[in-house]
Amino acid sequence: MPKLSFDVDRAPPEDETIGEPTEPGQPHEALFLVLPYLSLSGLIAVGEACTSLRDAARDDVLPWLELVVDDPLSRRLHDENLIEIASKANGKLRTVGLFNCTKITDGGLQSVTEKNPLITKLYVPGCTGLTPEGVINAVKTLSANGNILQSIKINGLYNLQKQHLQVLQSYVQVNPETLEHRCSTHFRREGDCNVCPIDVEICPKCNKVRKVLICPIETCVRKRDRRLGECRGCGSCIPRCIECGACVELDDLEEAEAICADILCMSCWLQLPKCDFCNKPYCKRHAEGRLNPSGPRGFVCELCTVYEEDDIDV
Amino acid sequence: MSSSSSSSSSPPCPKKMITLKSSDGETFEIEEIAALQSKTLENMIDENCASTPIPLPNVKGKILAKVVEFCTKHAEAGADAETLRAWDAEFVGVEHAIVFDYILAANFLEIPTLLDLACESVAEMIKGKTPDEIRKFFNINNAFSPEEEEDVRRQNQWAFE
Repeated sequence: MPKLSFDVDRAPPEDETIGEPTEPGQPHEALFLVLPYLSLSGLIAVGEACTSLRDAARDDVLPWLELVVDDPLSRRLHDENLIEIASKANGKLRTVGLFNCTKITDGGLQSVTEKNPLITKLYVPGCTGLTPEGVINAVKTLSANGNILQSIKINGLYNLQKQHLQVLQSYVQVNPETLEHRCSTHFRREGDCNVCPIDVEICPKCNKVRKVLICPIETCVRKRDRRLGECRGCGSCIPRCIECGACVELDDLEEAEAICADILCMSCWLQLPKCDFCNKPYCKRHAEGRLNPSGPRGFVCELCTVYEEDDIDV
Repeated sequence: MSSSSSSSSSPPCPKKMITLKSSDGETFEIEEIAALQSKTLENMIDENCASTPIPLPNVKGKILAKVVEFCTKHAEAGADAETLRAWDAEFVGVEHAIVFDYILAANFLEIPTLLDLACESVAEMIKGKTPDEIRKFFNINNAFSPEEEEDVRRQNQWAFE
């Protein structure tokens, strides 16, 4: 069977492999099935593309049961916008996914939770306008009437203390599989775990409420050298490679830094293309858009470009 | 492969093959265990309608072949998650018109894994595009009247300031 492998973003819409080029028309019916998979920015854009998509987005409840707000809408979402959009679920909202929505306040969140008692996933990482007490109130509201929360994300909230965490833990459902689960950095493409009932815990090293990760490498150097049972700690206590999650020794930190200031372990570092001047690589995520993957082998990073232009003697 | 002599009838026998017939008359064989990923097919198998080729009038041969490939791959024992993810990425790394066909087939046959995979890949294509870029990419006619367009832009204004 011949394998078709076009790069989708470069394939012209009127590719003749599939059929004759057609006049722009009604959206393909498959697009309507994609609506529930779009984050809020996608739903808004699609709703402005044509009238039938606008109507589908408006009249169908399904796309609104899982609300995901990320870049670029995160910093523009105010309480009133949140309340209006949450109302499109007609009280049946299941997932609240507010990522770095810094303008949302406790009041806005509470309004949403009061009107949507069926929420089981409450994700508000980086929503620095919220307080731990506000989140606890929201969780209490959601846990009334037999509803049980499956998963909470609160990493990045200010003033998170042990006692807040303990209260939240008492409200989240614990399954046998989540009890056994130990988080390492290296999972889904989104870079975030969906198994952890709460994304933060008490770091065994610094005792603060942080995202705590376990080393993905069975016999990491840290465990071997210090004869530890596990290599586990928050990002401040145990620096980790951004690509594979392996721990990086604090002594090597300066050499381990990428241009984008992310940390890389030696084996990941070796595999990435380096700047001609400073010999540092970008991490894969920050290389996107900055490096042409099939371009010339050398490149000069944005920091060194300054020196190149000014012709400064290094 | 050694053949097992299984006497119990309730667990699906891995060697049992089901025949599917596409809208354009092509037939495809699929292991029963792979076919069970489709709720539609599972129901038919349960009700014992699966002895003769199952007609699927909504799915073309070209697409049905790929659906069989997907289900067979996902029914394989012992595949590690990383490899499967990479395989999935390649599977949907095709022209979006084909991915649309996967979506419709997965919806009709009720294969949640394929539906999720295909829809998420289209969602990725939509991500970051302006309404105009979406229209161009998916060949959609702008059916808005100027007033309607103004109306909907005003409603979404908060998202663009």
